[in-house]
Amino acid sequence: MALILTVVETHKGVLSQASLGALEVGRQVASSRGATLYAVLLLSSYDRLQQDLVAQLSAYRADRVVLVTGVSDPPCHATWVRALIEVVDRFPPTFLLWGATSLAAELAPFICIHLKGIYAPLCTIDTEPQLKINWYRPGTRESTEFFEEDLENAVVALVHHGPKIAPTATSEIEVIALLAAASELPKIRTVPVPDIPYGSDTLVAIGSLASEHEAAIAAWCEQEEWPLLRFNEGSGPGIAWWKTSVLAMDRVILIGCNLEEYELCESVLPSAARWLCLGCEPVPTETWIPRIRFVPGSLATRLPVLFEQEL
Amino acid sequence: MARRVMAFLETFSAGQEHRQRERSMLQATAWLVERCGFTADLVLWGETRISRLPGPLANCRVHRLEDMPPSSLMSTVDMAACATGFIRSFRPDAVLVSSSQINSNIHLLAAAFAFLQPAEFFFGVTEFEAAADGRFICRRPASGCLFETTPEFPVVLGITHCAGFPPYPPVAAPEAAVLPLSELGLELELIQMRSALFPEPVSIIHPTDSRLTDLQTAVSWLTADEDTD
Repeated sequence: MALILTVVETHKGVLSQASLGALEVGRQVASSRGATLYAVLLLSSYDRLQQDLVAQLSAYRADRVVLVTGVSDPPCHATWVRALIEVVDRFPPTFLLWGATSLAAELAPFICIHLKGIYAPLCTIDTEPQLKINWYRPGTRESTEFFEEDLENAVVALVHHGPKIAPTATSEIEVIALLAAASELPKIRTVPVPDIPYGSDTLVAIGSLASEHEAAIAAWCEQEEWPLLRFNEGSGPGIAWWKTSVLAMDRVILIGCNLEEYELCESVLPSAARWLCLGCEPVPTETWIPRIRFVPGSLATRLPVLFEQEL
Repeated sequence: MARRVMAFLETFSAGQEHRQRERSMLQATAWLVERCGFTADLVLWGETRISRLPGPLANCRVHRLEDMPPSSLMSTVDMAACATGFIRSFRPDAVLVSSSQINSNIHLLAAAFAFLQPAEFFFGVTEFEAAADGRFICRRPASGCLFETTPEFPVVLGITHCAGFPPYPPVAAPEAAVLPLSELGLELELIQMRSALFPEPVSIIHPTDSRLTDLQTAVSWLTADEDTD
């Protein structure tokens, strides 16, 4: 029977929204092909606190869980890749799905090379009326449709949205436990960075077109207790975008970004969030973000109205 | 002997090399030349052309691959074959690519370098700092943190930004020399044959017109419990 693998990521003991979105797509593909959906969970250790993760994976309709323990922190190429190669060798997938995160961007191409697969970092997958992958061709405004008969090798695809279907009640699920082989790792240090407060549901990002309004936006963010990221060069309020990474967020509000800054936001901020782009010029002609609204016009008139809204 | 850095650049539109990630990749390559004593080889993929480069790359070698199709038309197997050819012919100590999503097929090439050599692989590098013995420290945000490492060689880096040093002013780029595929052990016919297996492109993607709206409607959508998309 065909296997669908979905790699799931956790942060502070919680499954990421991007992973749940990938799991949902995996469920659809598995059901359409009569395949088995495996969730692949890599952890440094497994204790009672993590048991809830497995229960959640059953609620998001995984058939089985491959639980790899003994993986070193932090999650990155050096610490995860050997364990993942072992998993795909033991459970060769027809689809390997992964929520679109920085970790996926780092590891998925490598796994794809190992599988000699098709790498689809920007795609949508339809299962009705038949299985079809719309693979967006990098650098063009075109997509290519792969149907089931085109797929001789594994597809390694990144999923850019969170879950859309509510979880079911948890049920018993088969767990296949693996222990990661010990290996010598490069020394990776964690540098203290400005923290994105845990539990923040909204992130505000400002670009160079918002420079005249930075102080007002910063005051608004402080009042709402929302993190502020700056995507323009130079100093000013907010965290410089390259100094932190944002894993999960329900909403992203972009203010005054030019096209280059918008594209940067697209690639480093959570694509599974709902995005509101205010005063971004020019409005991009295409986007990878599935849930987004653009409000054009002058920031001088739009911002005071925005600040008064109950968000 | 000086260490060698190979940087791969593929652009799809005029001026793309000046955009943030591509520019950062070229600046990082220049920094490795100036501060860490590397020699540099810049490989232009497909139809990519470049007229200006950061100052320290004034004397680098620029290669243009003869008749190479765009990376988006190349299979994973071909990208791995290219990496094999470059490793044999150039033996790079460091390979740099832009982490831009538009270059996702070049990311396969980078992954192939890491897979085949094997090499350390750091993706999304944003900051550099010089270290002793021609080595360097690099940092990258990931998993809600900022990771810092001093890579061993060979190493493959996906560049997102180049914080940590001021930008180098541009100079005229050296003329690109044509690199025959045979020098990399590649056969164009085989690559073209495999490219031909790719289904034809069918559509224009994700127009944003339908998502243009007024502020009040956008706020209602943003705050709605139900996801209407």
